[in-house]
Amino acid sequence: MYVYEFEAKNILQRHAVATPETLGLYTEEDVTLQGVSYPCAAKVQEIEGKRGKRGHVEIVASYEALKRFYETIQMEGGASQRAGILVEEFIEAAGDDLYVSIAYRSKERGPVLFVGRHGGTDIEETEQALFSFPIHTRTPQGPDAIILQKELALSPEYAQALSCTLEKCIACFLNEDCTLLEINPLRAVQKGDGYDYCALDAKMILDDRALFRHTERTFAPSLMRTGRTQTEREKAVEEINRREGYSGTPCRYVERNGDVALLLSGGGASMAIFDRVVAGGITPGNYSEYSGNPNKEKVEALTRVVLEKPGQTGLLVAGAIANFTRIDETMAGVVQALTEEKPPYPIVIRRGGPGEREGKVLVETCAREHALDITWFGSETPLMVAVDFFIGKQKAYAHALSRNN
Amino acid sequence: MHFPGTTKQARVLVQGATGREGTRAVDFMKRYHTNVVAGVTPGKGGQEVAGVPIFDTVREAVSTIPTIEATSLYVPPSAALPATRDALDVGIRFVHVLTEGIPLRDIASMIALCKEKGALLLGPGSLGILVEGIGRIGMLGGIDPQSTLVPGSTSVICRSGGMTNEIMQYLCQQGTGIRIALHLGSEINAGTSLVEAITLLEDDEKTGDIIVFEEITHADLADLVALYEGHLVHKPVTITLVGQSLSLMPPGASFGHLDSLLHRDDTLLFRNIAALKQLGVKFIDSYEDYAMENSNRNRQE
Repeated sequence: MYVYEFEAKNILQRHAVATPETLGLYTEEDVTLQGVSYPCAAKVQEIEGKRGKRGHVEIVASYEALKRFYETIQMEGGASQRAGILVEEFIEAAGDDLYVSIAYRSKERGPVLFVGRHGGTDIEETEQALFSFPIHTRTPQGPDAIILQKELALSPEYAQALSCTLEKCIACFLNEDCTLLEINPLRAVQKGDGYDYCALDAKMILDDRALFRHTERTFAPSLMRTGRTQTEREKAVEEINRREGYSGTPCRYVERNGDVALLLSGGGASMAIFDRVVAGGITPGNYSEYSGNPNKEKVEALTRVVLEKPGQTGLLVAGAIANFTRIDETMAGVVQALTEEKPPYPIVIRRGGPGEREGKVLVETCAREHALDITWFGSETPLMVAVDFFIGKQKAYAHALSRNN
Repeated sequence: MHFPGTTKQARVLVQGATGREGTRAVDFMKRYHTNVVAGVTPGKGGQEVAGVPIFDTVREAVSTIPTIEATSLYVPPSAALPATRDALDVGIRFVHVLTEGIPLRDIASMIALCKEKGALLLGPGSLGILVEGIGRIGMLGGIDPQSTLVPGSTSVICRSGGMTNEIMQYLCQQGTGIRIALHLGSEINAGTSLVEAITLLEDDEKTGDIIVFEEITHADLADLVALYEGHLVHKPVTITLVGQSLSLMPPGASFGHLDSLLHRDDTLLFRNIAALKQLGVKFIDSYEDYAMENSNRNRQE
């Protein structure tokens, strides 16, 4: 679950990480822009990154400049992809801007803290090696000041202040069940006789799996953002996953430009089939996947979404020989959707595993009763033989279609 | 370290034994030789599942039924970490976890705990391990592996549960017998990595060669290169790597700079593949090619 910058900063503040004071969070309709002092930072609240390079973050020195910024953003349109404009106090730097992130890395099999000496908008263009520090979830501890002095060439006062801030960032990351926390830049600021570090920007991804232990959060369910503009059908599948009684492994559905529908089972098989289909010259119009023994209603709902996309010229329903998924149950769901939608194009179904015989009967009965072009393959046929058969059939159909047109 | 149940039946505990998946797991394991000696579900102590006694806690289970060597978890995601801790606290040193959707923080803690105790963790999100003719911890191989599998010396390491079954059955249909099959599981941060699995199978006397089905989203082959450069792999390894066409999928929104700053891109993966080929690892487009080559090799012999 991606969160907006202002939400991420609220969360950081709860863990005593310094952030700029918020002067206002203005919606697209709010034109008053009251209560702002200048200069200030105006920042569009959106998930898409590289805002600075797109003119969506600016330091403005006057009311007129803020108003111009505001109007420019409004004129761009696309307000539904944003959560308004955050206006913050401008923070003077009292040292170098740093880059900080914490993320789970497969090599370390846990969270790793990364710190870069050079933070800011040009960070990807600046060659620098990141200092990395594994975090132990059971006994979390950040790098102490001595290590930071050495690794980042910081003087003792800065290193001490950074060490404190990083401890708080680590506590935030773990206690809030983040999967990513990125602060760029982390700015050194004067604090009394010494320094503190202030998060000028914050990107945060929260672990969806841990939401059950964060009931204090007030994010609305509709704000389960995925960092990309979803199509209506993609949203529909997320809705299916959230439905009561549809628990278990979530279905996946991603659309792309293409005219062939795929309804695949199992993560690995889906990838292998997708590779084969693409290598065979097919252009899939989606990647969809279900696994983990879903009930027939869930599979039916997913199948309907897959079938809904207009202009399709073939459907492949396929997966590996299931270990325990009931094929009769899942095929009952597929068949229900096919019965109602009655696609005119060729359909190839290859499924194997428990209840396979009953599944075959359901599918072949459906094909007969509704005059659908369905070819069934069971576990006696190797998966890729069935996939290759589908590729041939779909191409022949598409070719005949284009000749008739 | 060895996987339990590779030389003789392991004594297996099932945690979450009375739930939907746990009940199925007890049934599946018992159908394929496995000695399931106890189950645990808090509040259900005194019941039985398929003749297996159920206890309220792991501690009660081991005080009644000693020498439990392995546990297989079918508990809710929120209970996975405490359940793992319970098993490790009583001396169990093999933890298989089927449960998916466990918070990443908890998975990291489970992995760290198992490492601290010198235990093997398989999963989370894993269907387990099957040792042909001896048993399975988990649910690999379908309802009746006895009827589909033949003994042999090929061991299978697979990222995907369904494909483990598909590959096992396909190979056996083509005349290549199976020794061990294991499912690494869907998690990016996995209890047993590909490299660790290969190392463990190197130590298994009855494994002659290893076939690997790996997904590009998980593949981190640098450690495998290091293993080969250290001359720690002697058995033939063949790898199918899937998901390369997924680069055709629409990209996610750019969010953060970390991957770019760490130079995580495909060129690193392909450099590692080239290095592994030089070191003798075979990459094939499909496991079917493996079966064909193997059967040609068998015919020549």
